[in-house]
Amino acid sequence: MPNPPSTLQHFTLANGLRVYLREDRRAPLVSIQLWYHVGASYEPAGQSGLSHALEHLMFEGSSKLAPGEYTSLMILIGGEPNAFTTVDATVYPLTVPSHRVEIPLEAMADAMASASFEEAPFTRERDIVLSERRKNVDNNPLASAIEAHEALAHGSSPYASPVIGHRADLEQLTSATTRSWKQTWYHPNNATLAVAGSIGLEQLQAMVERHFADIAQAELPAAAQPRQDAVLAKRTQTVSKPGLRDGVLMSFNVPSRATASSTEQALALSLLPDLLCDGYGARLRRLLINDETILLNMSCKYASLSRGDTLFSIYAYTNPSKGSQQEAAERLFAELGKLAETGPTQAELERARARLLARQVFGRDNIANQAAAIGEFAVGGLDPLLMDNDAQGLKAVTLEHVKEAAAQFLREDLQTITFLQTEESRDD
Amino acid sequence: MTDTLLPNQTTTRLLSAQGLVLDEPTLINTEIQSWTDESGARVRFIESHGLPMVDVQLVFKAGTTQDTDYPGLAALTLYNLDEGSAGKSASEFAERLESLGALFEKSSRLEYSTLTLRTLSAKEVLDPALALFTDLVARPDFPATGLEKVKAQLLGQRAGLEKFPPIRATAEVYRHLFAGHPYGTPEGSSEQGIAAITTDDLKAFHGKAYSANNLEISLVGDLSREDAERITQQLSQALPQGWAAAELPPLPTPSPGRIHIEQPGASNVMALALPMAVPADAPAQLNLILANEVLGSGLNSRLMQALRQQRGLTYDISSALNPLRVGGLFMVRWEVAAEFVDASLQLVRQTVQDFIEQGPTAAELLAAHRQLTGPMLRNVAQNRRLAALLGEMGYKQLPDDYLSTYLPRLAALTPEQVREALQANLDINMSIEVSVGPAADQKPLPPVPADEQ
Repeated sequence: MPNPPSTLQHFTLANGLRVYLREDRRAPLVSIQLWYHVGASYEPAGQSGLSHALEHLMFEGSSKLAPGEYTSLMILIGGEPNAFTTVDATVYPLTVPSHRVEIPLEAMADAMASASFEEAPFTRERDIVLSERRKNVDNNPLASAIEAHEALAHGSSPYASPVIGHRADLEQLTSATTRSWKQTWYHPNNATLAVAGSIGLEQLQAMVERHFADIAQAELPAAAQPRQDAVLAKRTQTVSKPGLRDGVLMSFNVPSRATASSTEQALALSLLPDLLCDGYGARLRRLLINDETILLNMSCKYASLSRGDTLFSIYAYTNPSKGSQQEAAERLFAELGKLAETGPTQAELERARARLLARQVFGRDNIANQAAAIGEFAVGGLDPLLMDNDAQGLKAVTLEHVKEAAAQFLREDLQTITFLQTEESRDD
Repeated sequence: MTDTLLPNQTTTRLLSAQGLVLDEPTLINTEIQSWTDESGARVRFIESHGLPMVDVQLVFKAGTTQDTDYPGLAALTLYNLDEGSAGKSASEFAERLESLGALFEKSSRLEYSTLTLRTLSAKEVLDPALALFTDLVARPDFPATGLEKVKAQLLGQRAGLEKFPPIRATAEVYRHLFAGHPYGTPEGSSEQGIAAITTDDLKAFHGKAYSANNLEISLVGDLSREDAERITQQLSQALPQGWAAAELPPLPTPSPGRIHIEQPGASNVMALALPMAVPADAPAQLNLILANEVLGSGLNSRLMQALRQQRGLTYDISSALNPLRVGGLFMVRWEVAAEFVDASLQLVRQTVQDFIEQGPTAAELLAAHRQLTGPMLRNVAQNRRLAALLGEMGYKQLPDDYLSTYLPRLAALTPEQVREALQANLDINMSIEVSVGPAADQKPLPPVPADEQ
């Protein structure tokens, strides 16, 4: 018989390192993820991309690790060394066979305590990051449009800044600034170690103590919570680029789990993507793609686990034979207005809820997802120990909660629209 | 090259890695049950009771290479399956399936069309989800309104992909290498084909290509063998019967080529491909998998070292094997500033050529083996990945012990065997080279910093 998920276990070292374990014995593997509570939204103006650049330089040498040794050694023991940066976090995840767990723990601890880098690798990695930006943003018209859209929607919030960094900022970035970013933020009391897999708490705790306990904690600078601008009005822009398909990016400034007035409010918002966009039975997809065919495709996103105010976004490709992007946006917004006025039907709510709850089960298929869920809670300013209450919390969300959330946040003054059009059709 | 920690001399200062034994065998004992049911569908099943869920994957030999005179027929048939089935409209259908929390996906490829269902295994969810999934695959209504809508979606998607450099570069390789062959239409559709296709064409195509004995079924999850047999039997009996895709014609004689597609952009997307006439189930595939890992997979690969680590020319360069039923290809892909198109191409070409001539070192081979071990361990630990692996084994016609013998067989290969497979199957003089992006005055490669040499 299938097992229910194990209870999330937790301890904190004297130096402030928070450690969480989701024990899962289905396979002899463990996912270890070190989440530093620092990301693009912590960066000062003019230094965008700093957290991500540092991520590239964490394994260029430390007291026990030669430059590049981390990558090679982790591959040899069956891991896939990688790292990623978000608006709120810099993350070093690794999944390894259970009997190898101590090696990455020791390596990650050593890097936390003593990682440093020379000028040559710094210059090389800065060039590589510029190439990464060129490939993933500058040479990708949709990604460039989304970058411009998020900047407009977030206004003066630090979330307006792209994780990869602006090109001009990256070109100005120095090794000294990057080193000092590590000195400022990479301390045990600013990190969460999220672990999922085939290991017991006692064994994990002994290893974590052995390698992390001697690292001193440090005072952290105050990190302001990203908030939306106090006064907001409807914002629109048009992005024209060769290769861009006709479309609409529409976002609303909304609270996250961390800034919502109640858990119900945030959970009601978290049902919106399934209610409106995801799956062929979702309301907007059914009406606008299936019945009226004014849209050709769409997706919705709500970044609920953000430490500050966030966005609810709808991205849609429009059907040129059925009207303009402007007409499609009006039609979209009119439907959101109906949701705000009358709420979803009971069947719609049940469908969205069933999908979210089923995905919680499906998510357990991959222990790396389980560890990531813990990290996302932690860097999103929430207590991971509360994450297992979500299933119960979702069951308590009512039609009224969704209607209220829609009415409160899917408003014109909270709205940002970016019209997408291919450059060739600009003069049509 | 710097920084390469050789597996047989791990002089690390990490205390926990002292005395690390790296050549211990990695055991994979995932048990695969397989059978052919009465309708001729091949079934591969893994019983996995750890989570209350089931993954089903159906792989029909109904890919775009089965298109007749109308490029797009296979794709449009697949994309129209959920436009209404067994008298239920597309919306009704989706609402019922989605209210169970079940996830349905479909994808169209050159040789195969794939449908997947992921659902909770509780009987009150599983049974109706499977019944709906069966209706969707076996009893599509193909209403005219659905076809019209999906045609507009496909045309929009085509227009986007046509201008997206990574897709365009790959498409040019296929067009050149497989001109006149079904593999030579990598988009899987044409505007004329899409315009001409009617719902009758969809019905006729479905009646043949979605036959039970043209199907490989993968099933992973919280089911008994008895459940699995019942489920797959019900599914395959509902399908059309008695048709199987014919083997494709042999490939045209390849010719080398250099293609530039001029279009605006911030850089060029590049491809260098070599024809590789090794069937997907040939023993030499394993040698080539190892070779590819050394040459073009991961941060320590030869290509990544040459272009990214030493010269910072690109964020990412990787190579891949694409074995197809009547041949295949090997392809390197990267992105580079417009002024380094020629120089980077020359560097990639030289790196590939040297590798074919020299083959891998023993240390590179061991590292490649370890680099392939981790993903395999992670794959067999996940139901979804296992279902996909079973599907791959099905369409490549690999034996049931493939997963358990994969790592030991890789470990047994010597540098000489890998080099011989490279030289027997890849010829640098046959390379097809593609760039997509803006043209610029060409510059020589930047010098390699002293400490990177």
